[in-house]
Amino acid sequence: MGTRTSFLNFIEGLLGKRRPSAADLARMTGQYQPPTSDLPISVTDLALQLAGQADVKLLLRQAGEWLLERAGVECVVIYLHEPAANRLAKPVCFGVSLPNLPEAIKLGYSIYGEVAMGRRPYYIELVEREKRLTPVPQGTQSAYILPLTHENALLGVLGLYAARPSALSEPSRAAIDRVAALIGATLSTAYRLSESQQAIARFDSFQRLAQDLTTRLSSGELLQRIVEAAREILDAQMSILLDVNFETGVLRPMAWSGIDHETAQLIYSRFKEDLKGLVAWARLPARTPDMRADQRTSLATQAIVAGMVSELAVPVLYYEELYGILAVETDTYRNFSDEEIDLLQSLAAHAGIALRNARLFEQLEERNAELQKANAALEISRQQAENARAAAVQANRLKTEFINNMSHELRTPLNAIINFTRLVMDGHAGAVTEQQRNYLSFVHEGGQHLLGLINDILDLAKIEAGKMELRREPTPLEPLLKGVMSTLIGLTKDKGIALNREFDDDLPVLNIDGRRIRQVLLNLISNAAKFTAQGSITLRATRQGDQVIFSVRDTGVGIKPEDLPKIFEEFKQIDNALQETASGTGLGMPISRRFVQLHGGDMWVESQLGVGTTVSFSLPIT
Amino acid sequence: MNDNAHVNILLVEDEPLNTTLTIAMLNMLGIQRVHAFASWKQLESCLDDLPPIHLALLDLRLPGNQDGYYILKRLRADPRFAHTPIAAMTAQVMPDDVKRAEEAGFNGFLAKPLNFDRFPQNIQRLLHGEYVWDAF
Repeated sequence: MGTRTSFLNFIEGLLGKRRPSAADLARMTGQYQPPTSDLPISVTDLALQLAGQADVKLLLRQAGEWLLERAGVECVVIYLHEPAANRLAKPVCFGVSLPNLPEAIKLGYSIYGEVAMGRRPYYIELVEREKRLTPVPQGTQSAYILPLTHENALLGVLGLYAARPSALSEPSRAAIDRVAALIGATLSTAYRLSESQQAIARFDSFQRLAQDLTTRLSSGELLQRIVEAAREILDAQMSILLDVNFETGVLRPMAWSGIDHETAQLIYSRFKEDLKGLVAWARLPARTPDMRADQRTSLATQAIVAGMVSELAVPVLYYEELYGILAVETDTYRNFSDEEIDLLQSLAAHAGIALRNARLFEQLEERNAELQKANAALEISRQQAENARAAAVQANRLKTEFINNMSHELRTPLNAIINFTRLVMDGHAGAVTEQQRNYLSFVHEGGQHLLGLINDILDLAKIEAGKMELRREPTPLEPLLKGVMSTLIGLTKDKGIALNREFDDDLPVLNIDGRRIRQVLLNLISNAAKFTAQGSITLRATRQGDQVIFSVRDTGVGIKPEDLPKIFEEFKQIDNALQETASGTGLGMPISRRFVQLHGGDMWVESQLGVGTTVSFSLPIT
Repeated sequence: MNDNAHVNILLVEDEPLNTTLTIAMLNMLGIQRVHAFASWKQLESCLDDLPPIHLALLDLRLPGNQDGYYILKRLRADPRFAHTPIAAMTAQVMPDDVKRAEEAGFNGFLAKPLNFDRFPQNIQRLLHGEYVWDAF
């Protein structure tokens, strides 16, 4: 709506430059009444012919032919005034043809130019005396060159060439002056009419564009419509829209009309470099009637090569943001009006919206592409993770199955080995000698060791499979510790090691799996006994805040600092200087720590080589 | 011990070595009447001829589909065994196995290898109708 209102204002401005007089209206409606006169030539019929004629070419032809017929001249020449170029141009010739007429005449130059400049007719009685008048039709005696004006505005110059001097007698010239005035007035009206027709045409184009803009077009299509509309509305030979790249400062063609692709690609600019670049830099419109003479466009050689003369360029903005420039160029000399700048700017505003949308869309697409890429990568890694997880689950299942089967298959013969041995050892199968009993005890121990190993492996497998379930129940610590202590006594009875117990008096009842914690403590004391030859082993249990700390301290061989981290690794055994061969499964410590961790506590080791080792663990009081 | 002389124990075990061992260990307790079978098929054909049973000891893993759980179900369906103590005696000792046995309705669970020291009192307790879970 805003565009439409401003455009109507524009038309109003165009037409309202001068309030039409009653005579103008009469002329426009074909009711022109010329003043009656007794002069040889009546202009009434010409006035009637020309009234309402908006086509300048036709108008000139009618006037020229009328003059040939009525004024008795051999040749009629009419030049039109081009105010923007300050010259006379587009000559038309009726009657005897004058092929060598100059295409354009600068105001003030030659006779036509002088007449135009001075706005005064020039009568040449004898053309042979006026050498400057050229070309002249053969046989011409007299010539009459007079300005075509209307209300002080110069519209052109009329030239009449007569073979008979009487044709240009004074009364005839007076009549011709009136014809010239009539032509001037009609031309002026025709110009105005064509201007308003042009305005209406522009308005139509604008409306069509407005419709295009509201339909769902791609940004590229929209920009194409805009440059086409710019060219059409401003009646230009070409139009072009350049996109600005702020990183490089280069303006490149995005859409164009009136030129081919190759030519368009030649048109580019840089910030501040030429008229287009200056428009982009200053964010202000700029116009030049003649690019060839304008220093600002001295580098825009491409456009000059393409034959363009005048240029109007406006910035393409969206709010304060610059997106490019929109320019129209003409191959004829033209001074673009302020209204035309406004027109191009309102087109540029649409281009700004289109370009902004295009850029937003591009960014959106880019982000979409990135997102899709990221999604694809994510999907791949998700699948890999899923595969790995499935493989791990499968492997775990196979491992668990294998361990279960192995456990079952080993337990069955061990049942026979251990218990038949006991049956024989205990005399249930007849008398046994001391030596036999001794040997059988080795078999029994071997069986028990094997069973311990199987149980350890099973425990580890259960923990790893997350299937280790604690049977927690309120457990008083005193009996538990005493039981462990008595086992320790049994383990060290032949060694002469001092055993100490340091238990707090008020040890709490813990909600624990007593069997597992007992297993942990037994493991710690059996290790201590294994690695200690002399000195002492101390079993300690103290309350510290909201946990109970258990520790087994020995004065054994100690552990090398580099071996300390291996303590909790599965199947790792530390060298024991006291034993030539390794004993134990290498699973005791890792399993012990896991049990403690399952209870919510932790286990740690302090040791000094040759001095002793302390293994401690904590259990929370819940 | 004298009481045990009249005790009838039903044993289903497919491994002859284990059958021999279990009988020998029961003999230690003075139990002489052990009715041992290697499968449900064998047991089923003799079921009607059996004297009143005081305790059934069933291996869980047996060939085919007729495992210890199956036999438990079949025995419980027989009115004569509705209230008889029936214990699992097995080398399948993973937590899931123990749980399954508990849920199936066994009165006891004796893990293999049998604990030689605890075996006599476990059997006595089972005979007295106690639940015995020696799963470790």
